[in-house]
Amino acid sequence: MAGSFQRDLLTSFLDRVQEHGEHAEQGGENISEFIMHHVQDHVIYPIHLFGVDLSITKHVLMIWIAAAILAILLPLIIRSRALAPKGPVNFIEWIIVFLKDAIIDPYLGEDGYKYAPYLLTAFFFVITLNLLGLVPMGATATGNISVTAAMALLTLFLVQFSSIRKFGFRGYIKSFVPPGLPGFVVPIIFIVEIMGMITKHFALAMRLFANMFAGHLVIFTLLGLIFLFKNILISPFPIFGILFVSLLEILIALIQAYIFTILSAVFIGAALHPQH
Amino acid sequence: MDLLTPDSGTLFWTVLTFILLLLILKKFAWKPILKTLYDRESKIKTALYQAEQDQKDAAKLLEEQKALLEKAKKESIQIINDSKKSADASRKELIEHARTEAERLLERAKQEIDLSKDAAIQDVKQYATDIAILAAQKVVGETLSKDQHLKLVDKYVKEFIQTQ
Repeated sequence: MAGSFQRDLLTSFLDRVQEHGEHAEQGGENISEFIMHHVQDHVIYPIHLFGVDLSITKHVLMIWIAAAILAILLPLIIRSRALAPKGPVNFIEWIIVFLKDAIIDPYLGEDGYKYAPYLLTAFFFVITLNLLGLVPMGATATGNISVTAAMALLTLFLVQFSSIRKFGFRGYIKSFVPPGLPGFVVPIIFIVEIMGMITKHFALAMRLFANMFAGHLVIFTLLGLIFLFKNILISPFPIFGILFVSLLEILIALIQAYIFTILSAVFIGAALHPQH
Repeated sequence: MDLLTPDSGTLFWTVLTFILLLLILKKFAWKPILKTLYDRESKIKTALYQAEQDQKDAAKLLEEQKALLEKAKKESIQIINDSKKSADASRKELIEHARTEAERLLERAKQEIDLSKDAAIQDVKQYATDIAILAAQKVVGETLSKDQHLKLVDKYVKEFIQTQ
């Protein structure tokens, strides 16, 4: 039985591959269109203001849902806190204490109090967007380069702002060049340091985007296999694959939110405590 | 493929939404909970510091008390020793005093004895002279002149002293 099943499956697979090869144009495009349709953004309500495209897209909607969930739930939960917290308050407090002990205190120290709201908001925002992407009918806004770029830009601005606030504008410009360099190297180092600064934040955006995008690409590709093979017998394999990748996605959703937050803290900390 | 091209609308809405969310959460969530956390932390820190300080104080107090006790002990020993010494000294002094007093009394008694002896001898001399004169008067009769008398007395006294 089993042997014949495997043989059937293999024959079917080979048939489909052959078929796919023959009709590469038609079948391939359908599948890739299906995948891209599910991982890419779509305009829901087009808005154009002063020649700028400000359309509401599916991902913008997800961002608003996430923001609404956080803006309503967190204050409600935190308002009910007590000396000995329990239930949801305890959970939220545990997360915040964890972030405070693992990220805010080690990298920012005494300045932690000032930058904690940004880092906490970033963490909860990113993690909510990541997890909403795993909810059926949801979309992963963090799998959109625009969203992650916006987050990275916010961190970039906060880093510049924190440096200017602490050292003044002159000190901020000076902090790009380590002291004690011979004069002719200074312009080169200055340009290199600015490029490094931009690269760090570009990588911040790319890392989150690529991780979240790739997971969903894998899920939909596995799902696409069923349509590619046009055989119901193949479906358990992609389904189990999707289950596994989805579990992995949950892990990645948590890890990437943590990494985004810790890197933001590291960048701010580096701006506040330059190596000289 | 526009996968990597940032879209101005999404960018704008993300930044706007995030900043609004940040402001709302900062006011209604992070401020209260961070205050609780930092307060708790500082409370624990102060409590720990206080406990440590109290312990130090207690140890110091104990040390002080011990030192005080030691000092009191030493002082009491000193006082006992001193009183012993002074008692000894006064006893010695008393004995010395008594002895010198006794010696002085003895000396005086001796002197008095000597004086009495001399007086007695003088009395005896006088008495002997008187007896001698009386005897001589009886023996010689009464007719001796004063000069003869004295000569005789001298002669006999000399003889008497020589025979003694």
